[in-house]
Amino acid sequence: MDRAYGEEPRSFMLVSRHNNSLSSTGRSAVLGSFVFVSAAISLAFALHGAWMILPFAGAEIAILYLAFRAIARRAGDYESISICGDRILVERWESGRPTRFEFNRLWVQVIVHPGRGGGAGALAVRSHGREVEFGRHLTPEQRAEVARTLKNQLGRARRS
Amino acid sequence: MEAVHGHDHAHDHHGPTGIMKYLTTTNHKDIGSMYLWFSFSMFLLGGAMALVIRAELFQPGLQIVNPEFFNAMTTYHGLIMVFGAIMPAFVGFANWLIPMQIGAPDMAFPRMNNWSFWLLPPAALLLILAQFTPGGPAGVGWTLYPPLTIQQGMSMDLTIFAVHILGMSSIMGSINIITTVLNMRAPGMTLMKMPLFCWTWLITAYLLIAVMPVLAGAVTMLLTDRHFDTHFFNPAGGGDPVLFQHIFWFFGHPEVYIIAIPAFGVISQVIPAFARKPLFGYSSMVYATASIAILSFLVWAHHMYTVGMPVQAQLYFMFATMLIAVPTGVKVFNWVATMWKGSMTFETPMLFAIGFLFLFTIGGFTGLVLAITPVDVQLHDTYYVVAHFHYVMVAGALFSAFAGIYFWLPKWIGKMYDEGLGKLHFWLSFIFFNLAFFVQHFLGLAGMPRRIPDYSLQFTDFNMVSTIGAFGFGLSQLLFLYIILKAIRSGEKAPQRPWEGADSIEWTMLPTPAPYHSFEKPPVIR
Amino acid sequence: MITRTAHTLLALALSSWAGLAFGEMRFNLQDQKTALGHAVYDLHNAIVVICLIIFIVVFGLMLYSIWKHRKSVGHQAAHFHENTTVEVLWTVIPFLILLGMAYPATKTLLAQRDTSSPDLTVKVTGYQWKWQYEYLDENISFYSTLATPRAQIENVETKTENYLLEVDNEMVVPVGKKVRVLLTAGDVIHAWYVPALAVKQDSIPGFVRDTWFRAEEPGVYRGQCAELCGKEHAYMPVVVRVVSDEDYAKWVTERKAGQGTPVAAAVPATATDAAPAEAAPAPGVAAVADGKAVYDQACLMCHAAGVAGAPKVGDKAAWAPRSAKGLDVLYTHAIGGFNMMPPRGGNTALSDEQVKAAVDHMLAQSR
Repeated sequence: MDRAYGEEPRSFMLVSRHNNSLSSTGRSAVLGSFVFVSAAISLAFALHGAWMILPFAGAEIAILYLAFRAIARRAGDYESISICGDRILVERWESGRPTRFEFNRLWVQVIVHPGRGGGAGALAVRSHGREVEFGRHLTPEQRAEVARTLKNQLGRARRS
Repeated sequence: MEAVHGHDHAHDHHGPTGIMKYLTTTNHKDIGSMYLWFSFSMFLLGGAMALVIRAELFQPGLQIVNPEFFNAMTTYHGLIMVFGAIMPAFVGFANWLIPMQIGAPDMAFPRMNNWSFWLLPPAALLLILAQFTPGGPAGVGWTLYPPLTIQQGMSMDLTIFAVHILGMSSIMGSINIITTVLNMRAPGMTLMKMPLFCWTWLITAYLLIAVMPVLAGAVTMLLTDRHFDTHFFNPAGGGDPVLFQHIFWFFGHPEVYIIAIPAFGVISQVIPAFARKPLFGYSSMVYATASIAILSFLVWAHHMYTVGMPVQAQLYFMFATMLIAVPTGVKVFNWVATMWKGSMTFETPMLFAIGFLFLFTIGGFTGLVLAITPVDVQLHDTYYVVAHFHYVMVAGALFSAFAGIYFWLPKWIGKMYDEGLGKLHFWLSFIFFNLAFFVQHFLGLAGMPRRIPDYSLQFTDFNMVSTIGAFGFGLSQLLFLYIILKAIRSGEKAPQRPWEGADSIEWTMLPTPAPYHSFEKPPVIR
Repeated sequence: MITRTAHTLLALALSSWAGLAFGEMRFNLQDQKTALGHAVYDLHNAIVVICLIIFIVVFGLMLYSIWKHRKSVGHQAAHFHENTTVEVLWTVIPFLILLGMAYPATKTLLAQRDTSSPDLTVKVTGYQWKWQYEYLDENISFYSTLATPRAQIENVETKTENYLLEVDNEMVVPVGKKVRVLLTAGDVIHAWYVPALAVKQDSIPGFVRDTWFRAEEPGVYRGQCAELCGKEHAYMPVVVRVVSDEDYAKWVTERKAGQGTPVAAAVPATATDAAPAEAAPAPGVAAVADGKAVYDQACLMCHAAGVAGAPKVGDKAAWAPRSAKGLDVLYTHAIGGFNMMPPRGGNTALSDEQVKAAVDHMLAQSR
């Protein structure tokens, strides 16, 4: 999978990431605080004979854990676009699964779909009828800028 | 095949239409609206039940309903208003506002958000079905105390299942809110920059996660006591009925704050907007809210001063309960200080906010009176308590919900409501509310127990006044419905920022009406 | 004095609020007929007055601000949004006020819960939907049910003065005596509530709770069940008739005569059928006296009501199989604990002799 990296140096690379305001330490702390509080409450009641709170607390913590795990997996999501020699690589990392698209540098086209309200909408690279979106984590302004930069880079590549 | 075409994009208005659109929507705004409409219909249903109660109590003697049905009305009025009307109303606010206020495109788990809403209608259906089961509807009060609960018919089981489902919905809603607030804030939107409404919901969601399993466990134990021969609470088998009360109120007291704290959040947004002055003591508001939440776990047994706890326990619960007055006082003082030297105008949201402040404080003071154990022993289970918690729940939570709806309606639908009618709605609600509930303090002081369909002659006059007030209050809410429908159909177009002093980002950075996805891309907060 | 004035002020404020258009309306707790009730009444008034003062100050400021700091009078908004000094002040001052309230509240609460050394103990049992009164010392027992005719409830007849607050058999107690009320229930939770005597206590099935009152003057005091207990919850009133000592004595005699059956405590133990000979060494007089004191202090909570399977004193059928095991076994169980029964009735300070004396006492009362 990673063979591309060694062969030619990337002459250009752009990465866009998800917005996560909670760090992984934060996630553990929050989840830990819930485990602690729920365990304390349900065990205290269990000691007084009302043990049926325990399974509900357990189930709840399980759901909470799944939710936080889902966030953690999404937290690493990113998209990158890079130029390696005569190839354009679009790589995506989604919930721990990588996807990768390759284009020929000379035939690729950068497209900006018009967005609602005048700003830049979806940004995509297209070649031979294949279209791959890029920059889903960016603001319209940032996408417009990315589009400019990319066009610039590609233009330079073609001229050289 | 890899051609991924912006599938989850702004232009997904071409999804399913009609009822399927609402069944499948994962959009926080659609879901928020559904929550609000659901809660309003439950509010009308619970309100109708309250009017049955008040009509029966207009005069001594049995006139309209029999005692069994009366007890069912008090039970389901309470359950429906607490779990069906007030809680979903504020979850509706959370859905609408939290993404807009922290600069997120939607909630963290949109599909779970859809599920947590669609659990509500089946639960409501169960509560309604419970009225028509063999053996008659359960008449136990919303507190569900055994052993009385154990005697009830099948309707009790339906009610218990309904509570389970409602609890599940609340838990999923809370997880969504916590993850959204913590993880989806826009760059620069630090916790201490969040609008206070988000803070109050973050704290509320914590409370919900902590206590919902307790409620679920408590009602499950009722169920097994009823059908599977366990003896958690049944004294006939060595169980302890008081244990249920401890468990119930360990859930129930935080529940009171689950209802009140988001209301504080709404008020903390509305007052600065109309005083044209930033909220006074933002950080002390956050700390006060958090301390109220923590204290709420430590005071549950003040609902049970007459069960015969050891005197040391009574003393502890009395002191701890009195302590709640301190952070609550801080909040009230902060709100007044926000108004102080402002440049105030009094549109409908502000009127409801001031009404809230006024009446909630009365509810707070009667709460302090009830905290004092020897006095509470006199007032426990009398109409004084009924008056107290309606000041907190109706004048507190409901008034703040009204303030919030009038405040954000322009942002939600892009149209203005009729200001004159809005003000009329406030004044009618304010006057009739006090007519209905203020006199109940006197009834309670004089010794009228709650949950009775018939009373001795000395209580007649105040009961008549209260019934008149209740009907006036109930009818005023139809005016509210009319105002909302009128605004949706033919309201004037609202500008982006209809309120001069509103300064959170849903006003300053989003167009009106708010776009389908709030902030597709995070804004930058400076 | 201060509270008296406060009360007047309060009454004035409240009555002006309501316009006092109606005849007899009460705006405060019922007139109290016990010393504790007066304490509670004054405590309540004091708190309400403090709350009123705070309310007036805070909302006076708010109304002033609403009046002066309006946009329509051209007031420009200031921009302050913090002031540590005032924030500390309005945290600390309420705290101090609360401390001030806590002191009298604690004092009253301690008095309220002190059920020791009663002159008279009455066991009250709540049932759906009536009360049972048992005078443990006199061995009087009767049920008390609503006396209001159904026709009045259904609006066929005119309602009379004590509508819903009248019973067939009233609880009768002597004036000025400390009456301890033991409460339990036979089915669901009820609450025994007499506003004028400042008593309210839940009666809980399977448990015995207690409360007390000492009525200052003769009269009839009416209350109701205060805990939702099913469909007739509104129809199980509590009526306490407080009478002079002589009238009380007369009532006791009449009651006993009316009850018709010989009362166990009044009849000397006549070792008969149930108890085998070796299990019935007639206890000495001194032991009986001592045993009764111990019984009242440690055993009565359970053995008077039959809590948690404890054999009820006076219940021959329950005691017969137990005394059949022999006195030594009973002594051992009482001292060492048995089933639900804690060692020495839960009072480890008791000597073996005292426990034995109490067992003797209970046996003597139950055959």
